[in-house]
Amino acid sequence: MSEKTVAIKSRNSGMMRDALVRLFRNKAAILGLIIIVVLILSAIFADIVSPFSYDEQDLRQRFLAPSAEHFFGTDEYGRDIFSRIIYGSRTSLLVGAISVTISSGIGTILGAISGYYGNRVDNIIMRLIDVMLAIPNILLAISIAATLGPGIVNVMIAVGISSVPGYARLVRASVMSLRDQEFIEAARSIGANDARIILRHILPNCMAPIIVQATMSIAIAILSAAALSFLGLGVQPPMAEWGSMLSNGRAYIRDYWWVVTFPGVAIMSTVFAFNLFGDGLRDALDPRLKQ
Amino acid sequence: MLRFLFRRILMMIPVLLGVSFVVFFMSYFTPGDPAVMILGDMATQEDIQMMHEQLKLDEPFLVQYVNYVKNIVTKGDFGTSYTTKQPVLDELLVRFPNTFKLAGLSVILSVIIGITVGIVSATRQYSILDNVATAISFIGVSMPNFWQGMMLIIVFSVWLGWLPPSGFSTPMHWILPAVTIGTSSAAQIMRMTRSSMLEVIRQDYIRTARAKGQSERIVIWRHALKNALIPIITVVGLSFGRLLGGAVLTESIFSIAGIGKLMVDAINMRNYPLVQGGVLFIAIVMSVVNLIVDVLYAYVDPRIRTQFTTNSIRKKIRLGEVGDE
Amino acid sequence: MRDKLLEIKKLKVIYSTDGKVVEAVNHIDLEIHKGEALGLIGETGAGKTTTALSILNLIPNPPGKIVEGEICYNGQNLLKLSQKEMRAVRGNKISMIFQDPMTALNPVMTVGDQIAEVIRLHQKMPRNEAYIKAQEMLETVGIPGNRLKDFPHQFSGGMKQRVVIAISLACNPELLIADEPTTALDVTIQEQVLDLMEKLQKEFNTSLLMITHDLGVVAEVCETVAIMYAGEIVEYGTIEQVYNDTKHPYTRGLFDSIPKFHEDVKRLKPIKGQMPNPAHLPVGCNFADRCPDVMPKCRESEPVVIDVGQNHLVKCYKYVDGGDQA
Repeated sequence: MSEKTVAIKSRNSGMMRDALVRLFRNKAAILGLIIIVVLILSAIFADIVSPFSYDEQDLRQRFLAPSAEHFFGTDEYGRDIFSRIIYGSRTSLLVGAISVTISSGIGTILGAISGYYGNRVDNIIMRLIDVMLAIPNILLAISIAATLGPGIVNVMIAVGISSVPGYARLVRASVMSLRDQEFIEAARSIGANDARIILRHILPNCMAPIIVQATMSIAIAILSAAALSFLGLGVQPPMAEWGSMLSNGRAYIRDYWWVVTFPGVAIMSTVFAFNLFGDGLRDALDPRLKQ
Repeated sequence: MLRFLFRRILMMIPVLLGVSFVVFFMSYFTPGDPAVMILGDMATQEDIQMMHEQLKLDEPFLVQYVNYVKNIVTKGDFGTSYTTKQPVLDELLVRFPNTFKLAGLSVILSVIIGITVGIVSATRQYSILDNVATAISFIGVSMPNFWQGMMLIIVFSVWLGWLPPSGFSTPMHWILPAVTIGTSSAAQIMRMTRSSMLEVIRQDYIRTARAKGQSERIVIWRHALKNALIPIITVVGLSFGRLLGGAVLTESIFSIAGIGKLMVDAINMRNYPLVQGGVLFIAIVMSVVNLIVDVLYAYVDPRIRTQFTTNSIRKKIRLGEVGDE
Repeated sequence: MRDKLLEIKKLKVIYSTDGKVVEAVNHIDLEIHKGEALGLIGETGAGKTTTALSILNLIPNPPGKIVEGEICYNGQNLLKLSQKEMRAVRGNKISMIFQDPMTALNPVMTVGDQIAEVIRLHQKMPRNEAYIKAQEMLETVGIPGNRLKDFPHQFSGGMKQRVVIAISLACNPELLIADEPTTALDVTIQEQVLDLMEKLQKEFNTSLLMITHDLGVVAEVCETVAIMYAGEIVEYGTIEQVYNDTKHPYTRGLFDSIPKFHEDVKRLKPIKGQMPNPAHLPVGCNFADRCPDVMPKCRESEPVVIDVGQNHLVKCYKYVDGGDQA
C-alpha cells in the first residue's frame, strides 16, 4: 500500500476520534443511542424480558385494559400486548437492518460504478434511478411487495430496493469528487486496477455519509415495513410485528384504544431514536453542517 | 423560458417510459392468471382460452408491453379494471379530485406551519421555543402516518366527538386526514427552513439590509426568506411525493374515495391493471410537480433564471461574469 | 476647529462564546468632525470592524455586546436610542460600506430595488420617484442607469462595490463608514473606487471613517488617522503627525514593514510575533511582547494616553515623563 494511503488512514483515525468526542457531547444523539441499545437488548433477550409468550392466547382475557399484570393490555385473542411488542422489536430491527444492508449494498455499488466510470454507464444508471425516484418511495415498496407476495423476506427486499436511489446518488456524488484527487492518481500509477481503486481507496473515504444515510434509512425502513405489514403484505400471523398489530387492532379502535396505541408508540420511539442518533452522527462526522 | 419548458417536458418521456416498463414488468411476473381474475374461479377452460386471445396474453412479453404503451399513448387506454370492468383511466380520474384535494390541503398546511415555525426557530436559535419545535419535528417525522390517523380518530372522533372519523365531504372531514398526511412534511419543511435560514441570516447582505435601517421583520421575511427558499422548495417538492404515498394508507384509514384507497383495494383484490395504472398516474403527477419545482427555482433565483432565458452566446458571457465570483 | 459629529467615549465591546470572554474593543475614544475623513488602521482582529458595527449598533448579539461607553452623534448617545430611532439613523444619517462587495448585495433583488429600498425607507417618496432617484445614484457612481433592473450577479466586483456606494450615499448621510472598501478588489479597480469615494465625499460633504490595514489608502483619502492594536487605539493624530513624526513603536513597526521604493532593502521588516490572544490579554501594555523598546514597567501596568503635542495622542510609556530618556 502506498504511503499516501497510510497517511490518509492515520488522519482518518484522528478525525474519527474527534467525531466520537463530538457525538458523545450531543445529548440528543446519546438519548437515541440509549433507546437503540435497550431495543436491541430486549429483542435479543425477548424470552427472558417478556412476561408472556407472543402467541399465548386466552380468549377469556380479551381486550383487558392496561394493568399491573398486562402493562399495555391484551388484544382480541387475549394476548399480552407488552410481550408482543417486545417480540415485535425482533422483527422490526431485523427488517430494518437487513433491508438497509440490501439498499446500501446495491446503492453503493451502483453509485460507485456510476460515479467512477461516468459517461455512458453513468447515464444509464442515473436514468434508472430517475425512474425509481418518479414513484413515491412507499408506493414503490408496496408495488414490489405486491409482486413478490406477502412474507418477511419479501418485505426486506421490497423496502431495500425502494431505498436504493438515495444511496446511489449519495455515493455517486462522493465518488465523483474523489475520483480525480491525487491519491487516486497515485494508486493508479502504481498499477492498481479499477476494482481495487474503488474498494480500497475511494469507498473508505466516503464512508461517513454512507453511515449517516444508513442510520437515517433504518428509521425509514422500519416505517415502510410497518406500512407494508399494515396492508397485509408483510409478516404473517401469529408472528408479532408492530405494523400488523396495528392492522389487526384497527377494527377495535372505537372501544379499545390500547390495542393500537402501544404498537404505534413502539414504532415511533424506535424511528425517533434512529433519527436522533443519525442526526447527531451527521453533525459529528461533518462539523461544517452544524450551525 | 419556453425552450426550457419544452426541453424539460421532453426529458420526462424516457422516465415515464421507464416507469411504465417497471410497472408492467412487475405485474407480468406476478403469479396468477389475469383471465381467471376477470372471469372468476367458475370459468370454463374455453372461456379462459378465449379471454387469453382477446387480451393477447399469449404474446411474448415485449409485444405485450409495446401494446400496453401503444394503447396508453394512442387511446389513453390504461386497461380495464378486473373488478368493475370500467376503464382504469376513468376509475382514476373519478377519484383523483379527492386525492388532489387532500394532498393540496396538506401541502398548504405543512408549508404554512413548516416555514413559519422554521423561521421563528432560526431567528431565536437555541431558545426554548426553538428546542421544543425541533423536538416536535423529530417526533413528527417518526410517526407512521396511518397510526397517527388512528390516534387522531380515537382522540378527536371517539373521545371528544369533535370531528368525523371517516369520509371527505365537508371541510370538517378534511381536517384529520390533512393533518395526518401533513405532519411529517411540516416537520421536514420546518427543519429545512430553520437550517436554510440560519445560513442565510449570517450572510453579509442581511447585514447590509439592517445597515440601511430596514426593520427586522422585513429583513427576515423579504431579504432572508427569498434567499432561503431554494432548499425549502426542494423539500416541498419531495414532500408532495411523500404526501401522495401517504395518501395511499391515510385514505384507507379515513375511508376516503381517492386514488390511494383505490390502489390498496386493487392490491388486495389483485386487480393489476388498476395497480399499474395507478402507479403510472402518480408518476405522471410527480413528474409534473418536479417540473413546477424547477420553474419555481427559476422564479425565485435570478441566477438560475439567467441561465434559462438568455440565448447561448449571451449566456456564455454572463456565465463568465458569474464565474469570477 | 470644526464641529464634532461623532464622539466615541470609553467604548468597550466583548464577545462571549462557550463561557470564554473576548474583549474585542477595550475603552477606545475617537472623534470625527463634520466633513473630516478619519482613517482607522490596524491588523486583522484589532477590533476595527467591531468599532464600526458598534456605531450602527449592529454587533451580532449574541455573541457580541457593548458593555461600556457612549457613542454620541451630534450630542445624542446612539446606544440609548430605541430600535426604531436607531433604524432612522442607519442608512440615513450614518451609512456603511462593507468589505466584500461580492456578498454585500442581496442576490435575489435587482440593484434598483436595493438602492430604492433605502431611499423609500428614509425619504417618504412614491415608488416611481424612488426609482428615478435610484437611477440617478447609479449614474453618479458611474454605472449606466439602464442597468437598474439587473441583478448583482450580472455585475463585476468593482461594479458591485459602486452599487454598494450608491446605496450608502443615496440618503446623503452625514457620516459614511467604509470598512476596508477596496480590500476585496483588484488593484486597478481599487484606485477607481477610492477616487470615486474621495470625489463623492467632497461633493456631498460627508464625514468619512475609513477602516483599513492599508497605510497608503489612508494617506490618500484621510486627514486624521488612528492606529488600533488589540482593541485599543495606540496612536492618533493628523496624517503629518503620525506619518512624519511617528511615535508609537507599533506604528513605526507598521511603516517599517512596508516596502520602500527609494531604499534598497533586502528584506522587509515584519513586526515580530503575533497579536496577543484577545481572550488572554497580558497585564500592562498589550504590545509589550512584540515591542523593540520594551521596558520593565510596560509589563507591570498599562500606559495612559498622553498628548505629545497639538492633539497627537500616544499610548506608550516612552513618552510619559520620566520614561524613556533617549
